[in-house]
Amino acid sequence: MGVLFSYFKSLIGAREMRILILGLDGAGKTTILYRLQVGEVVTTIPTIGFNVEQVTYKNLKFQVWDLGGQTSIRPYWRCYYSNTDAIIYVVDSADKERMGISKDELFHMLREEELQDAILVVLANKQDIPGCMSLKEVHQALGLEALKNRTFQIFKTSATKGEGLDVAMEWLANALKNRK
Amino acid sequence: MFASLKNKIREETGSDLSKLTAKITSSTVQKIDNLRGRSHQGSTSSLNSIVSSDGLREEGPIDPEEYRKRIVKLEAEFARKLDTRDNDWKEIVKEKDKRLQSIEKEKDEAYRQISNLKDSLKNAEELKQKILEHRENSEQIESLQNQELAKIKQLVLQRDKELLEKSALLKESNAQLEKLRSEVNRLRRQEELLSDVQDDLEVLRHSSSRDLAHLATELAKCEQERKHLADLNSIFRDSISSENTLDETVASEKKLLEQRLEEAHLQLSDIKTSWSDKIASLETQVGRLSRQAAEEGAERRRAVEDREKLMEKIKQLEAELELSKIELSNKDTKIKRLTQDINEISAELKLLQQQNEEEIQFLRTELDVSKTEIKVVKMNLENVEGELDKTEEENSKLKTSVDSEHLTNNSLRQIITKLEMELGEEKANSLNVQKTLSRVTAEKNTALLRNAEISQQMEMIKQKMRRQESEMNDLINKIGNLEDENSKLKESRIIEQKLNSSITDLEDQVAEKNKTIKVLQLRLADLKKTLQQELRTPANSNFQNDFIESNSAAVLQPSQISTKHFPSVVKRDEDDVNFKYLKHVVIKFLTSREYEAQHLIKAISTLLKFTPEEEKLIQDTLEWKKSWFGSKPKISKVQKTVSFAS
Repeated sequence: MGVLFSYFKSLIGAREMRILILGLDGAGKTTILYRLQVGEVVTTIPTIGFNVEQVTYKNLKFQVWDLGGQTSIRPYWRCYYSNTDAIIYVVDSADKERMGISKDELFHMLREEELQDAILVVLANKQDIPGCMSLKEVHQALGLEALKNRTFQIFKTSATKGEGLDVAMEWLANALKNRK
Repeated sequence: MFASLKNKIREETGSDLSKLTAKITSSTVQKIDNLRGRSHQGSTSSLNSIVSSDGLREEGPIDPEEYRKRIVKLEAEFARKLDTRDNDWKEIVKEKDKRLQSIEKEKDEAYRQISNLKDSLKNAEELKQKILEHRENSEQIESLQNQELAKIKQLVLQRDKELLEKSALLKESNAQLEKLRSEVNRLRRQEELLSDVQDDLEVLRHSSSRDLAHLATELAKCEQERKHLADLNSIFRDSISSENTLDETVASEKKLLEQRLEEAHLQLSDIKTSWSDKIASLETQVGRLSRQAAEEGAERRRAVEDREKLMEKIKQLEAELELSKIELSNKDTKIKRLTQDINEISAELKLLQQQNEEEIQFLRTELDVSKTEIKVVKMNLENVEGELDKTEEENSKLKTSVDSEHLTNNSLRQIITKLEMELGEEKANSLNVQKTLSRVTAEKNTALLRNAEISQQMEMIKQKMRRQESEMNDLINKIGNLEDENSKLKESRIIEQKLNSSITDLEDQVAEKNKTIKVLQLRLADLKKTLQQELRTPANSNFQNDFIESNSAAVLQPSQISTKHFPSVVKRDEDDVNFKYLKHVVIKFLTSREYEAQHLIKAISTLLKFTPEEEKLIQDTLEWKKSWFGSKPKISKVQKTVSFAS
């Protein structure tokens, strides 16, 4: 029985990977989600609540949760942390003032017990806006050097132009495969 | 506590270790002692045996040595005496024997010489016969050679004769040749003359033919003139007939002319005759010449034929000459060969003669030598016979002396037998002594054998000792290993005990914490009850306010939340957001699949501040929905009241 079941499971594919897209409000999380799912740029309104979508990438099924990033609803993120495989943390590269808040939120989140095994992907979004921070600057500003014992990678993306997302997703898929 | 435990364990283990080591050491010591004991026993026994054998040895050696010495001395003396006597007698006998042998040897040698001389005599006679035979042979050979020589000489003479004949023939042919040559030369001269004559003839013919032609032309001219004249005559006769008047003159003239004509004719005929004479003479001359030529040609032909014949003859003669020359050369070569043969034969003859002479001389010399040898041998024979007689005489003398010596020898032998008897007695004595000696030596041997056995035993024991020692070493090594393992075990035990103690500590801590948790839960429940009681009274707006505040804060300061007059307008915006959020989540929860809903339970429960029981109830209901069978989970009383109350 068990053998048969596992065979079917292998046919259908492994269980859905649970991925959370987090970040401050207006970083472009919902745009990224729909860019990943539909491959198109959709007009979005600020998310109060969340969006959840099925994304298939390279025979891997992802259940991607895009949680609203407004200050008042950020505390509810922790309600979704259990059984999370990966976190996509989106940063607005042009928003230099709130970079510190973003960093604080990131490290607060990473301290959570339930997220100790989760893979982290940091997306330095909105790279198409002139005068934005470079990848290295974002890396420095977020203090990612301090991260140890965690598989993570930073990518520069532009959700509206669809740049860098494929690279990031490929890396994530490989990392998830290797972790199994 | 842990430290004390550790200490205890250490103490326990330490005691164990010491005990173990003590046990091990005691056991090993015992073993070693046992081993040692055995070895001691073995060694003592061996020592005893050695001691006993030594005692025997000390008692034994005094008597047999003296006996031996005495016996040896006696034996040596007797032996010396006997040897000296024997040697003397032996020497005398040997000398005599030697003399006898030498005489016999001389005899034999003389006989041998005689036989040798006889053989040489025979040889010499044989040689004589051989020489005679050789002489006969050589004479025969000489006669044969002479005959052959005579034959060869005759042959040579015949050849010489033939040669002379041939040379005479050659000379004759040569003379003929010369004659023929001279004739040929003569004929050649005649030929030249002939050719000259022929040339003259031809010249004459030419000239005659030319003259003839000239004469013919002249004749033709004369006849033409005659015709002309005749014509003139006729013309004149016509004119005469026509002119009768003038006839007389003309007739005179005519007569004159006729006369002249006749004269011309006469002249012509004269000339003709002269010419014909001349021609005839010439013709006669030509005929003569032609006849001469014909004669000369015939002569020439004959001469040519003669010459050819002569030439043929010459050729034949030359061929004959050549043949005779070839024959001559052949004969010369034959003669040369024959002369060479003769020379060779004569040389061989000479060689044979020389050889024969040499052989004869050699044989003669040999004969002389053998004769002289025979003489010498005869002389020797006579001498040897004389010597033989002498030696025989000596021999007889010696035999007599030998007989006398034999007699003395017999007497000496008798003495020797007596001495031998004495020796036998002495030997008997010595045998007795030897028996005693052998007994003693046997005893000694037995003692030595024992000693050897003992030493073997010793060695066996030593080997055992070594084996035991090796075993001991192995055991000690094993003990060391065991001790190492033991120490490791102890360490592991210590660690175990430490871990156990830590587990117990942790369990204690957990229990304590559980207790505190229970206490806190109880307090929480109390607080919740009070809160709910208080919540019944204030307005609904406060609900969100309470929610916004952190959970811990709520727990810590319930009195603050319970205030009725809390301004609700302050956080209107935030309320809106939170309300929207709640609404969105609830909608999602209601519309989502079970799998997503399960994740949303936590969010809703935090949003609506569900108790763990309530949260569990929702989760259970969800699972019940998911599963196809099973009963609907029931709500506990307390929860019911709470839920209805809210």
